[in-house]
Amino acid sequence: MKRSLLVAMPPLLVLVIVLLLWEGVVAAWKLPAYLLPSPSAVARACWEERARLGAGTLQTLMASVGGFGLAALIGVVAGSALGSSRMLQRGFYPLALLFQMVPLVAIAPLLVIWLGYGLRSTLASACIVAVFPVLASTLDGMRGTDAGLREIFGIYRAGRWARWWKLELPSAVPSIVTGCRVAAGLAVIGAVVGEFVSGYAGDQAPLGIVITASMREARTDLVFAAVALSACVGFLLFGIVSGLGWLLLRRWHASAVQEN
Amino acid sequence: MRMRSIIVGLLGLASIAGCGDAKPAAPAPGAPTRIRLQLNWVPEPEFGGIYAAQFDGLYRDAGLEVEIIKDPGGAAVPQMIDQGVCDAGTISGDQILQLREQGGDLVAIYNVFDHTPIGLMAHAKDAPPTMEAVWKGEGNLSIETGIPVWKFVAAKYGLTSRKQVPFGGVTANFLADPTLVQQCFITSEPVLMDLQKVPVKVYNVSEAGYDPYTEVVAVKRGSMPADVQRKFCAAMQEGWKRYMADPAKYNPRIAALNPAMSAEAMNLAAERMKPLLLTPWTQANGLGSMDPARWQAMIDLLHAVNVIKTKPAPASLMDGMPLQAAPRTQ
Repeated sequence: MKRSLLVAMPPLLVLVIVLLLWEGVVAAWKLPAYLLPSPSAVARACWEERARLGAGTLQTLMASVGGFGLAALIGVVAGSALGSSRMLQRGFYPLALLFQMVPLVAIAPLLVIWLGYGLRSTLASACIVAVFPVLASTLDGMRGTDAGLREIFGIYRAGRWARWWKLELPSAVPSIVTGCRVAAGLAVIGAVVGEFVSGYAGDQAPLGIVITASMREARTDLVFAAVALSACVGFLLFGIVSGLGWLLLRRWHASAVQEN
Repeated sequence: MRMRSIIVGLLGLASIAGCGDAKPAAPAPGAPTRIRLQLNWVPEPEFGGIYAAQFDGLYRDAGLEVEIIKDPGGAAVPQMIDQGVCDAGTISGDQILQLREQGGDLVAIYNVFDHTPIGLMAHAKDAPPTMEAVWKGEGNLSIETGIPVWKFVAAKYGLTSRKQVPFGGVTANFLADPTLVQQCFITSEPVLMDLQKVPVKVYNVSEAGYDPYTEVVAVKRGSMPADVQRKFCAAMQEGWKRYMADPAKYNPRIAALNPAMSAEAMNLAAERMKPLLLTPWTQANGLGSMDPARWQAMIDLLHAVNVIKTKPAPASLMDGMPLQAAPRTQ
């Protein structure tokens, strides 16, 4: 308990100081609400629009989790496939890298045409942004497999599947967890950008739609509230991935053992 | 005003922070007064008169150096004007009211459309007969969520039974989905569809009882000296007269600034603009002029549907005196 408090105190203290300064700056300079709303105004907007923001957060959370799950699956499978064959790696890795460089904002409208409006496009958008870190970290993790252990598996004539399942994948797990942590935040960004162009509006509008609608209404307080909630979704996903990573690594990997 | 790139809009919000001086720098003696005019869309006939005045040197002759800045996509124009990022901008009248609720203080100095060009566009095949029937139909509805016009329509007809999807200002989704109904400027998207031989039916939003001033040139209150404002408005008015008299003369040059719309499409659009600009009111009072009664109607309607909480006096929203006294338009 005491240790948790020690961990939580510094960032909380910084957050409180930043919020107080922010509130003071807005009051002292009498900034208009559309330009920079005070933290208290943002909190008020959060409370007054809690139903809309709650529904939006749930929608964005679903899209982010779904997109991240897809990205993790595709990233590990594709990374493993590339890691198991030099030919595949040479042929496909540069293409995967190129895919990562494509600006999502440019292709998001095309996703709507290909996949239609709603969750499918948003999932695809989140997945596209999040897949590369998982793929690259899986590949790096597999490349880093201990050469001595590889040799032993060779001596015992282990098959390709056994080698992957019992040697390469476990060696890659720490690296995959790191990649998934990066992907967790990216999935939320991808989901929100996807929602800008493909999300359904109405009572269940996701946060991306709440942000765009609030921008048009000059309701910067609501924009801040929705952005803060998007960040919370990212934190939540990051926390879940980190927790799962710790569970996987805690008994044997140095990073988790040290934390323990 | 349309959503093409929301991210740019968000960046626009970020970019306006820290720019607090709304007054343009005083020019050196004899030098023209510089005005940065921010448009809220790409160059199209809806800005025809503004460009015609530029092409014909009307601003220059009035001692003004007007820089027309096209919208890169999703620019937060009302906020930019209020913060002095630009000296003037084209926005909708209801945005003046909305920004006022959030601490902004803009006034309209020139009005382009006397009747709103905003509407809904549906595929002509099996198109419902009325806007209400469209609103209560089945399929996707692509509109800019959050703008007052649709809040008014929702208050009038009830929440739409269609699935609301974002409006990207493009027609690709409309072409791909025969059930899609999308927001349009009567002078823009339907024209492009006509030229592509895609039959469409258009419903003007005034059918629902809301006919706002959709495109006004606004400035921050007190930021533009009266004589500069008068010259600027007079030049725009003359530009619009010339443009409406012979749009084909100017459209190739406007089309060169916007390759997405051909001069042919712009000529057709200009033709469709005529009944929206050349009305009995503008014939009697001059292009660009505004009717306080129309502002009052807009205030009352938006107040009734909770878009605004206070009801300002119409005179506080418009500073069109130079135009009210302008000579009659031919």
